[in-house]
Amino acid sequence: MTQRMINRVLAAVALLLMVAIPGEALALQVHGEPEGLYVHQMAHLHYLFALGYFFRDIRRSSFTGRGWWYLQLFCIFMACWNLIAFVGHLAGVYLDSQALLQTDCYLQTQLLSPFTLNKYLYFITKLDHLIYVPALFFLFLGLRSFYRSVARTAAEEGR
Amino acid sequence: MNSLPMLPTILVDIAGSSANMLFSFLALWYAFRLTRLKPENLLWGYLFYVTLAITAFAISRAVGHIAKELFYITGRGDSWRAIAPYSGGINTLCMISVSAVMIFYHKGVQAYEAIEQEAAKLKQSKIRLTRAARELKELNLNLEDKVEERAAELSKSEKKFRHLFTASKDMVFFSDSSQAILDMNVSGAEMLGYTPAESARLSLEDIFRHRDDVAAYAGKLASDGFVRDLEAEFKKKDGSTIYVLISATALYDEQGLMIGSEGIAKDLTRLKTMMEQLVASEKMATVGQMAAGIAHEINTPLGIILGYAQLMMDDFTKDSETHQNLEVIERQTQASRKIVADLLKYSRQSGSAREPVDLNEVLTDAVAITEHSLNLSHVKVGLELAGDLPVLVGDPEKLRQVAVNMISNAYHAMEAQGGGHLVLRTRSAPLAAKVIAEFEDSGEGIPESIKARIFDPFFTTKPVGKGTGLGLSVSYGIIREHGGTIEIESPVQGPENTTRPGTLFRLLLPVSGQTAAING
Repeated sequence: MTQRMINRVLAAVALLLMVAIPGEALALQVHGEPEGLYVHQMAHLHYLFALGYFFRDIRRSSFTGRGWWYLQLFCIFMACWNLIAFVGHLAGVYLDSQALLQTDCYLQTQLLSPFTLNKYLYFITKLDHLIYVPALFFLFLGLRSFYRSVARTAAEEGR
Repeated sequence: MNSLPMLPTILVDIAGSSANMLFSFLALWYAFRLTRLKPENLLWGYLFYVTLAITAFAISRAVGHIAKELFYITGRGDSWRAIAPYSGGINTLCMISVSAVMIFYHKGVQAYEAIEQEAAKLKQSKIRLTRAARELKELNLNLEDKVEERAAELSKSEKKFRHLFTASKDMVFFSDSSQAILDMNVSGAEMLGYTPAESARLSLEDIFRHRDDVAAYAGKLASDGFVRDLEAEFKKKDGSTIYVLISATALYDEQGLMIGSEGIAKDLTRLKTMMEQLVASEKMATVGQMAAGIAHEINTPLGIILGYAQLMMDDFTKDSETHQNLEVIERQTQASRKIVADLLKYSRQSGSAREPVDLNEVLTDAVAITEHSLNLSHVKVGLELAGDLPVLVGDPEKLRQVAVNMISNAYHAMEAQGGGHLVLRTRSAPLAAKVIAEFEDSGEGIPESIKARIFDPFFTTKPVGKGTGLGLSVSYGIIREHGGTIEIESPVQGPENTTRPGTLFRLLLPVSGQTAAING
């Protein structure tokens, strides 16, 4: 009996055993609850990395003009926001469920003492729009600057 | 402090989300307009997609945040908790998309830079091509201008030389290496008596009288490349000869081989005739002086011989032989004295009057004197006298003698052919201040060989005893005495280079003021 025949016999036995005794051989695995948060946090890190790469490439491209300067500011502010959001999500995870008290309505919600670092971080990172809005504002300024510059050049060429 | 209100965070969340939507939309709007403005620009296209992803994320996030706050404010937190996983999922998806698009920026820029470099190269090439095209165009325009300028210059030059060629009164000709005439100006053709079309078919051998001259002309051109002042005789269409002075230059091709020649021939016939007349005039002046001396010396002994002969005749009877011999001596002595008197007239030694003379009257008188003889010989006389002829100062008798001599010569010239026409013309030439008298007969003309000798004393073509050979020389002397000249045409020149048989004597006499000045 050749080696080739032996291999064929062993493969056939293994297939029979798997069909006869399947056990925990599940095709799909269930993703547990924390997975969504992890993915979101990884996306923040990914976004942070992408912004850093984008920033470095803008500088490396040695493009001049006000628009590129605003685009770099957008990168910096948006990267900062990503950090804040990442920290904010962690602070939210570690925040005690009794730390927030809603009395009459949602608008009167209070963050209760004793104040820990996590609670301060939670409160401050909730104000993330103070970074996010300027970032988008710089993006708007950058693109407007690009548009005006190109439009002026086109007008000059048209003349 | 026991608690911190979360209201500021809620307000910042709502306001911030609204502002985010506003700024992201504005950024997307400008990104979109950029792509419309420069649709071919890869970088602006890429930025549009980055901005689109950022805006999608910002909208997704802002809508989620506002919805959450509104759900909680309205006390429907459960509803939010049902939506929250979807909102969070979309947010995460958008964020990953933004990150992915941003990461591709590097490659996008690289592609953009590569394209830009190629575009810049193309642009530079285009600029160079445009510049080259402009330069070519300018060159072309300049070339056209230059060509036009050169053409105008050439045309002007050609016109100038063409005018020189056609308007020249001398012959200008071009010949090839086989001596065929390629081109000849109108003056040249007229000089030879050909039409321009006929002249184009001639060769140098046809127009040179002597073949040796053609060989000399060709040889000189071959050896020196030019011919300067070559005197030659040309043969006219009617066979007569003209004397020319030729200057010519050889023409060469690019290999330096002689392909022909260009030449100018000046007609010297008239000059040559004048020179011959001048020589004859000088000769006659010399002969005249000699004749005057001889005449003076002979005149005295002849007078003595005549006197003694007449005295001796008284001593013998008329019938005696001696008397008859003495009569012969007297007659011959008187004939000798007449010859001597003629010689003296020729040499201007005899006295002459000075008074106003009407040349028309002189000619009319001369015709009246000779009319009888002329009629007998069937010679018809025509008088074409100018009415307003200026008055001369001179000796009317001598001038009449000249006129009679001229008529007599004409008569003799036509005698052999049994008659003919004699025309006498007078006219004035105010510019030259001369009066002209012409005697034209229709005789056989004067042979070319004796033309130069007809004014010589004692030269005659008449039989011995019929003429002394002094008629024309005496006439010449008289006309010279009056400050004039005599010209001969034989055959007679007609209009447009035509000729007619016969002889024309033309007397040119200065008008009164000049005659007086010359002889006074």
